[in-house]
Parts: sequence; structure tokens; C-alpha cells
Amino acid sequence: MRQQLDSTSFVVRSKTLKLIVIGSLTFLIWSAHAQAPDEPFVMPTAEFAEPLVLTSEQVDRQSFHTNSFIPSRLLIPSIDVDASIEAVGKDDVGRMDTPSDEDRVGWYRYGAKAGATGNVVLSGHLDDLNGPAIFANLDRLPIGEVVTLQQKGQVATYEVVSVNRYRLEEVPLASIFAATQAKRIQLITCAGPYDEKLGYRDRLVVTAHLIET
Amino acid sequence: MKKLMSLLGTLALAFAFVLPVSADGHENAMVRVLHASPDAPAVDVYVDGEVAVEGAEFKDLTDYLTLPAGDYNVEIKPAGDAETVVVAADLSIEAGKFYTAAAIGQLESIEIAAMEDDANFEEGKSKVRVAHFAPDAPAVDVAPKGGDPLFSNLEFKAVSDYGTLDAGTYDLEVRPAGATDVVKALDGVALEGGMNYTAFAIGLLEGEPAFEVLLAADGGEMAMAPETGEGGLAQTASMNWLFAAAVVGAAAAGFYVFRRQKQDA
Repeated sequence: MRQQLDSTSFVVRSKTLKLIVIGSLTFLIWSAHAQAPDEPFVMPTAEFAEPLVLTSEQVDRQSFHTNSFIPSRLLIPSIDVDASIEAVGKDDVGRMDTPSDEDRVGWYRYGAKAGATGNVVLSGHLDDLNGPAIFANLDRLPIGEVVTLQQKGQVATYEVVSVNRYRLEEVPLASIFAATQAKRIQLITCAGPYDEKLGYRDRLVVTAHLIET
Repeated sequence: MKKLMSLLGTLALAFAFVLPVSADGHENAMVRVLHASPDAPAVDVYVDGEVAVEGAEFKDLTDYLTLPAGDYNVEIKPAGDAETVVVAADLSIEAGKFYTAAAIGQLESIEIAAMEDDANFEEGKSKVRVAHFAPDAPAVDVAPKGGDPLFSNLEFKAVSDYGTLDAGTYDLEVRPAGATDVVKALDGVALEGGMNYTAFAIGLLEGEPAFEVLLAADGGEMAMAPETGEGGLAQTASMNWLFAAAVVGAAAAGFYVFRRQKQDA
């Protein structure tokens, strides 16, 4: 009886073992089959009525759109400048031209437009024969002050980053007139002592960077 | 327009077909530097041993630097590490001309590519070229959206010739050479009349920093500083001095007369 029991229990145990062995083998064979490199798993394919076309939204895009404009008005509230702007080029000796009226400001038409990448160059008179002109107080413009260019509804706002005075022959012309990836304005006027023949000895250059909105 | 030049290594820069636009009649040239090596660190640029640019990172294009015409040795070093030269090249620059020197390629094979920038402008027209500085990108075409290529079969390191376009805003596409699929769509590329541009294709198609196009205006219509004063303030100032002198003189005379009268009394 006892032996039978033992025997029965052995049979049961061996059946369990067989199940485990068979189960393991089945699993191993199945998993080996699933991983077999010569029989890759194939995704069921869906039928498309139309060939798949990349829409414009799916193409990797880069936008170069900018809002730039030819400025018609310059505002510098901290030194009470509210001037109309005229486009200027170069005079017959290759200098940037100045506006026809001492109360106006000249925008260099070979440079950048307001809001655009590049140098937006603006010239204004320090004085005329009788006294102060539009940029008479430019040297008092504090760093961080706001300078605004406008044209009808369009506005580009800049922040003053430097106010520098140079001898005429040392003005950094490349920084002012050459192409740049910066978006900045350069305000230029006269400064320093005046000579009857040579004119003003120095130039004041105020640089302001576009405040991106 | 086929690629015309891929100027590398020796950087012999001698092109006579661009009229020099001299800033001020002086013997200066203008040079700017582009960092287009996608895996290189921030760098300092040395010109004849002197630091000229500090801390330029990938995608940075410096302003033009003014240098007297002549021969220079340009060295690129990791930012703040004056001892290590990443790559160096000799550069010859001519008065009145503009140049771009670009550090290109992966760091392990970094090179300096130098090119002359066209600073001869045409009213109402834009002159444009393409520089392929994306090391893992195939040869490419650049075309108007859906149109025929303007620039064909540009390989890595190639810089196209300038092509002339009417000023305007263009939607362009970068495509694998000869193919119609689009690697990159460039929307709203605004080309101003009287301006010249280089479109630098930089970055990596596979990985970071990602492939993109850096559009830069070239050269510049240089001018001398404007004459912005007529001396009115200076003359007013001298008039003021005269007036002040007159006042002081009158006061002194008055005081003298007053003293004399007092003494006489």
C-alpha cells in the first residue's frame, strides 16, 4: 500500500515533469521559430486606395519669412526724437548721404530694411549752420533705451547696446555697412571739435539690437 | 549652374572677375568666419597668432573683420585653449574684396573652406549661391518648389557659382541630386534687389545638429561715414564764449569804475 502510494505519487510527479518538459520544449521551439532569421515576421499590410503622398506638413520645412519694411519714421522717446525718414544713398565722393532736411533722418537704402537681418543704417545731423539738428542729443542716449522704426502699421523696436565716438578715419565701416547676421540699427551723427575746413572731427555711432517679438 | 569651385586646403584665392568695392579706398579686405563643423566644440579663431574671434559655436557666422590685404595664417582652436590647433590654413586676401572662411566637416576630418564673396551688386537683382557643408548629406539640387533645379549636383564641400535671380520671395527645395523628393523645403526665402546671398547647407541629415540652411547676405555696399554737421553748434558755442567774455569784461570794467568811484569818494 505504501509502495503503491509511493508508485502512484511517482507516476503523478513524473507526469508533472513530462508536462513541464513538453511545455518548455514547446515554448523553446515556438520562441526559436519566432526568432528564426530566415522567416521574418511580416506585418499585415493595409490596402490604400491612393498611393501614400507626403503632404506639405510632413516635409521637413524651414521658414525664412520675415517682416521687414522701409522705415518712414524714427522714434527715440528718451531724447525726444520723432523724425520722418527719407531714403539716402551715397554722395559723389562715396560717403553715406544725409537727409535733405536737418530735422529728418536718412535711411541707407543699400543696407537692411527695418526688422530685417543686417545693418539698418540711419544718419542724422548734429547741427546746421544755426544750431542743433535732429541728432543733437544722440550722445546722451542711455544704453538699454528703446529706438523704434515705423511704417504705417509696422513697427520694429530696438534696444541700445552701445554708444561710441570715433575719429572720422577710425569709424568701423565694416561693422556699419557690411553684411551681418545680426539684426541691428546703426545711428550715425557728428561729434567732437569742429574745424571750418574739415568739419567735425568725430562720428558718434549708436548701435541698437532688434527686440524679437 | 554647376558647381564651380570647391576651394579647400591650400586656399589659393585669386579671382579677378569681381570688381573690388573698396570701403574707403584703403588697402583693406573683409573676412568673416563660419563654424560649420557639426561636432566641433566652440572655437576661437586666430589670425597670424592673434585672437580675432572668440567662442564661435556651430552655425555662427561672424561679422566681416577688416584686415589689410596680404597673406595670413588662420588657426582654429578650441575656445579658451590657445595650445591646441584644431585646423589651420593659409589665406591670401586682396584689397577691397570680401571672403568667407568656413570650418567644415566632422571634427576628425575638419577642413577650412575659403571663398570669395561677391560684393558687386545689381539693382533689382539678387545673386545667390549655395555652399554644401553638410558632411553626411548626398549630392543635392536646389530648385524652386516643383521646378527645375537652379543649382545641380552639389556635393559636400562644393560651393556653387553665383546665379542671378529677380528680387522676390521664393519657396525653394533641397533635393537629392536628380530626384524629386524633398530633403528640405525652404519657405519664403526673401531675396532683396541689389543684395547677394550665400545659402550654407549645414548640419547632419542623420543626427544632431540637424540639417538646415543658413541664408547670409554677402559683402555689403560700403560707404564712408556721412557728413552730419555744419558747425552751427560749434559756432553757437564760440558765440557763447564771446558773449561770456564780453560779460566778464563789462563786469570787470564796471567793478573797476565802481572801485575808482569809491576811492574818489
